[in-house]
Amino acid sequence: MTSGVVRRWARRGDVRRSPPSPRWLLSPGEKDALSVIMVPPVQVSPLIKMARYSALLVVPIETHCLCFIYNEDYLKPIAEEERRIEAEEKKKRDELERIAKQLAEANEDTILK
Amino acid sequence: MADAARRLVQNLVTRGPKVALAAANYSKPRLATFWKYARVELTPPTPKEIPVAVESLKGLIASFKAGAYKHVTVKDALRNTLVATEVVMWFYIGEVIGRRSLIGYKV
Repeated sequence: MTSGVVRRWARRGDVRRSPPSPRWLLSPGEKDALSVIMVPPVQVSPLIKMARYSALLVVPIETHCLCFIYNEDYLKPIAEEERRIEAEEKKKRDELERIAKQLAEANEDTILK
Repeated sequence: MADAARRLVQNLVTRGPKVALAAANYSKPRLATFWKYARVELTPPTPKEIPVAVESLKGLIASFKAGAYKHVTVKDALRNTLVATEVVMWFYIGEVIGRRSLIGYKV
């Protein structure tokens, strides 16, 4: 055993240094220090800014208005027409049922009447 | 049941302020960092920037017509795809806000 040669981590009183923490484990103070050194905020091009905010606001509002117009001018009249036809057919069906019931009552023969 | 409710109220009253304070202390520096980046990166375009944006759009169309897309590197193409994807995602966020429901339209 060679004497006098002691490994670095084994010397008495030596503090074992852990590797630097991943960024999400750092405290806000350390992160702020890092952010000063590391990444300044990026200057976003105006084209991208305009594209983003028009995609956020203009496009949904436009599609909302267009869908509203489509609903009013096209879908609602169709729905009303269908409801009207449905009501007429229901009336006809009720008539037929009534007639059928009357016939059935007239034709049944039972001695219990 | 009443016992659990009573304990809940008790805990809220005694520990609530401490937890709220701890949450505020935790979030303040992080919010400050977020605000520091958001003030530069996420702001809407000022009226002065709109002509610049229109000019860059025209430049983009001109370069497309000139065939510059044939000479773009893969790294640049990837970066442009990421930026375009992010812009498209802003549309979906706008849709969620507009229909006032996280998923699906409430008819």
